[in-house]
Amino acid sequence: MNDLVLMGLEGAVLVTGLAVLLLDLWITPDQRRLLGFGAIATLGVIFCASFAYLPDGTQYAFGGMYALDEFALYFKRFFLIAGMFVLLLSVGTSHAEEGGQGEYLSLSLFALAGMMFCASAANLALLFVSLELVTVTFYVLVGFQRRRLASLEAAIKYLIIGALSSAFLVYGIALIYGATGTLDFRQLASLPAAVMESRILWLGALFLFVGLGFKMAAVPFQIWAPDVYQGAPPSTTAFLAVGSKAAGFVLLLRVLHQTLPVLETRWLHLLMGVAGLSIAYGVLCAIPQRSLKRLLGYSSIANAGYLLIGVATLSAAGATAALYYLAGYLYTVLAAFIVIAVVLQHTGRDDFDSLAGLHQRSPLLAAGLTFAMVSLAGIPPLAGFFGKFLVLKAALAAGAEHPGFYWLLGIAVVGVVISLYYYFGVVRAVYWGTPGEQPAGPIRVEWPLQVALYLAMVAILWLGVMPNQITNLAELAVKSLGLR
Amino acid sequence: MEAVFFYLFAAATLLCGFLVIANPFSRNPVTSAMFLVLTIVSLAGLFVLLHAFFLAAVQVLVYAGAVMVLFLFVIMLLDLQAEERRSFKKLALAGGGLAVVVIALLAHAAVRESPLGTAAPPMVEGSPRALGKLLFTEYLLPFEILSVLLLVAMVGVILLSRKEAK
Amino acid sequence: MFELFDQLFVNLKHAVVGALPEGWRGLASPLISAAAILGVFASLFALTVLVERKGLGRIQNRPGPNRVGPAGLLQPLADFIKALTKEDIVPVSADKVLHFLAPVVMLAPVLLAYAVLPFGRNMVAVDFDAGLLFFFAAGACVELAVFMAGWSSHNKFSLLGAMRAIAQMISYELPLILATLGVVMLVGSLSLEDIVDSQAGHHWGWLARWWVFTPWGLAAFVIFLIAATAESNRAPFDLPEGEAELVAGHLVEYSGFKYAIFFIAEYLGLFAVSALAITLFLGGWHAPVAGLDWLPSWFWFGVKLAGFIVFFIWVRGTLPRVRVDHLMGFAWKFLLPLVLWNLVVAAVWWYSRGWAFAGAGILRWVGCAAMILIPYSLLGRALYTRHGLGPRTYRLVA
Repeated sequence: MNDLVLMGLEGAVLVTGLAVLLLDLWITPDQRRLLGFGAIATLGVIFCASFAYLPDGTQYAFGGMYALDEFALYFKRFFLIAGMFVLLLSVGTSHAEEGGQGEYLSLSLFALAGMMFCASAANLALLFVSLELVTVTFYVLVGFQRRRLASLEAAIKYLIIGALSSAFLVYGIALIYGATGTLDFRQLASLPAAVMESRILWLGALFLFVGLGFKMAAVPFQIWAPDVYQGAPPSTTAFLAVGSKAAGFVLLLRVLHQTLPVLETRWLHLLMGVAGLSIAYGVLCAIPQRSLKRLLGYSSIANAGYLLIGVATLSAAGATAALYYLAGYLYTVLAAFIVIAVVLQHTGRDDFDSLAGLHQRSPLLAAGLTFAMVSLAGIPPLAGFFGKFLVLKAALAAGAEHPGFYWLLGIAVVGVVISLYYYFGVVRAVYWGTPGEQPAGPIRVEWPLQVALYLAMVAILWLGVMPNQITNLAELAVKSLGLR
Repeated sequence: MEAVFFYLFAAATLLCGFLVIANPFSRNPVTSAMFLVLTIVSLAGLFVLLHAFFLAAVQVLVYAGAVMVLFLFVIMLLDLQAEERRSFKKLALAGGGLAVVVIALLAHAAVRESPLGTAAPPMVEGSPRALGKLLFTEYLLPFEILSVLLLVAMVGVILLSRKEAK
Repeated sequence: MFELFDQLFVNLKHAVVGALPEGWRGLASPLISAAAILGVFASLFALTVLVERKGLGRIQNRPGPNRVGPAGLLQPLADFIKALTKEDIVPVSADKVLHFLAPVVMLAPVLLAYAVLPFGRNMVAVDFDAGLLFFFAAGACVELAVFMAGWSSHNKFSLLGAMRAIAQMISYELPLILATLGVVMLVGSLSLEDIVDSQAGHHWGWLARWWVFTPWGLAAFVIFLIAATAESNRAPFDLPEGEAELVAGHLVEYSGFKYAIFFIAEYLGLFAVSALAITLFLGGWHAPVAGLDWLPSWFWFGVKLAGFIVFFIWVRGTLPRVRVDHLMGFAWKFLLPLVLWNLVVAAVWWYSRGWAFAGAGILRWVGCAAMILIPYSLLGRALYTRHGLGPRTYRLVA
């Protein structure tokens, strides 16, 4: 019974998903919106309930399969917030999409449950299964608009690349099991040093990293991101950008620091290299983009690089910075995708030209997009600035030990400067773009989307101005991971 | 004797696996699928050598029997003439070859340093009863999550293949 | 005396193996078993074809084969010679390799399936831990063979026939396997030997303890039988061949000995699945009532198998072919829910085994039967009214 209580949050999300799936059978299409609001309200309740969990150290359930600590809770709350926004976004844009909204809601909820399980995985079997739950759900969510060719193309690409990454993941797990004879994180952590030196174990861990790298969209596993971001429905893309990436990071952090600490030194250069390459690739490829979703796809690769810098420092400060960075990134990306969804609905396009005159057609959307872009660019006082600041500070501190971090710092700073160009290109298109033959009538934004956009904007500002509350939570989380 | 069979099945697996993706004699998808069946059956043979009879039977029943038949069904219903005419892309071949070489080097480097035969003993010996017990005790949570995964797959398939409501 | 007859074949095999030099024994034992299975069931095939043709003739009010030999008894031999000497035609545009392999892939797994079937006391070639699963795994390969035959012929009728056959076999495989699951659940083993052993003993001192005498067992047996008929493409589920519209389905382009192999494989599959039904539900080689167990075990198995063969011939001669959409609807909408529900009933049966009050046995039986019959009639009615079907009525036209 205690086991079920410990995984109550995930259980509640799963039950909500099943309930939505079943209720959808009996309700009329008009009531679907209500169903969506019901689901969002339930997620809100679950979010509040997450504060009732006060894990004293790490608590295990299901024979050590599942771990609940502050670190897991931090990410669960993160995923729940993302889920609520995504559901709001999908409910707000539902009338323009084809039927099956109930399924969209329940699939999103299942993906959410999968991400939350990722946050608590303490066994490689659970890690694999929960990641698969997330991935398989996203195959469907990406191809949800099945009459749009772009959506289907994105789904096929994501399916093939996702299957490849799963193959690496499961092969890595098999090698780790072959070398050590256990899948359990605690047993792996307490292995004798002789076993830890096994090269088969390292190879397995490397493949594990490849599998997680696909989820994080870090170079060289980034190939799918721009196409899938562009083709998928906006609410799916938002969830993918935030949730899938964070699921990769939560598992990376846990494996790196809690399960196989021997990897920390072994992977230092790997992590640094991947981080640097991700930033360079993401930033450089984003320059010529004219499609907003595609731009965000490349930006997501670059952001994975910044997050990896935080991880690569192998310090509590770095991990805290990464956690804070993720929180800021969450609201920023959500704000951007809410605007994109509305613009897409009204113009059918998401390139820069369709943004022209947006500040006249809807000042709210213009403001939301500006907020998001400014935050992504890392301008104070918004959340994006403070995230980058923390990450770079941690890298600077780590540079004392490994001079390589200075190089990384240089790449990151150059990346920020270059990214100013294209982020402000978006802002310029919004305020100073020349509208073509577009109908320039005002855009009416549905109230759920308005609420979501206002909330996201407030959160971006609040995180930037008063970062302490989140950094405190993040520090607590990192401490429970055993990092000093 | 066992070693002979191991090398036989392993070689068959590798060879058929290669012929699935890059058959120099036929670009026909059905031929590829047939070689995939052979790959799966050879893998089942390897399972038998490991005394995992249950897994071997499930491998044949589920993969060779059900999954591959559905694969073939799809191939049969789609007209894949274009696929047949397409020739190898040089870049794809080079990329695939490079990936194989890199992974083989990595695996070689890993295995060379580690004495073989020191790996952990299996948790269960083949018997379905022991496997079932393990699934419902130690691995209960992943097992149940898998059921959610299957539900998601089912919903997804119905969603994506549903006829348009008039 | 009983021992002698009961273990006749077992002792015979031991004697032969014992007479061989030491090094040969390990190899000889399975080979002898395989040869025995092959010989017995191949001749049973010849016999069955004759009985079937005769029996169908009788049902259809005609004499049936009566030219070759006394009363047509040598007809199978004549058929055999004909099949061997006929020209083997391979279409020009066929995929030659697959076309050749299809009959082999069809026959080999069917023969493999016999390895795990217990034909009598101590008469099983391999007592395999996951025997039932092995049986179905072998059966799954048949679908592949049908596909190979249909696709490689490069003929639209054969392709259509193969598609029908595969769709039908996949659909009916689910109720077939799920129907056996109740037995597996209660016995707690996938080994067919264990399943036969679990049916030893008698109710009230005389009636054998077969699973078919339980309500869920009876339901599972009936469902198993229906699904088995469909799995082996027998009438009334012989749509894949459908001479009238598809000319012979996936077999169109086969002739001569290859065709004969398909034919043999189909019948051997039928025997195998009948043998499985006997093993799972009809007590395997156990006698039906206590007084009759002085007869050898393999005799009882043979009698039951003969009964099944007669049953299948009878059904073929009696029932008209089902329409293809009805066929699929029947499997997915009717059999599948029922067979799943039947598992629940089996579980109830298992948990109520400890009941000890007066009349508990009857209550248990009646209760479980009601648990099956009520959903059965409700589901049947619901499907009926949905399709606008009612009971069949006849009107006399003056």
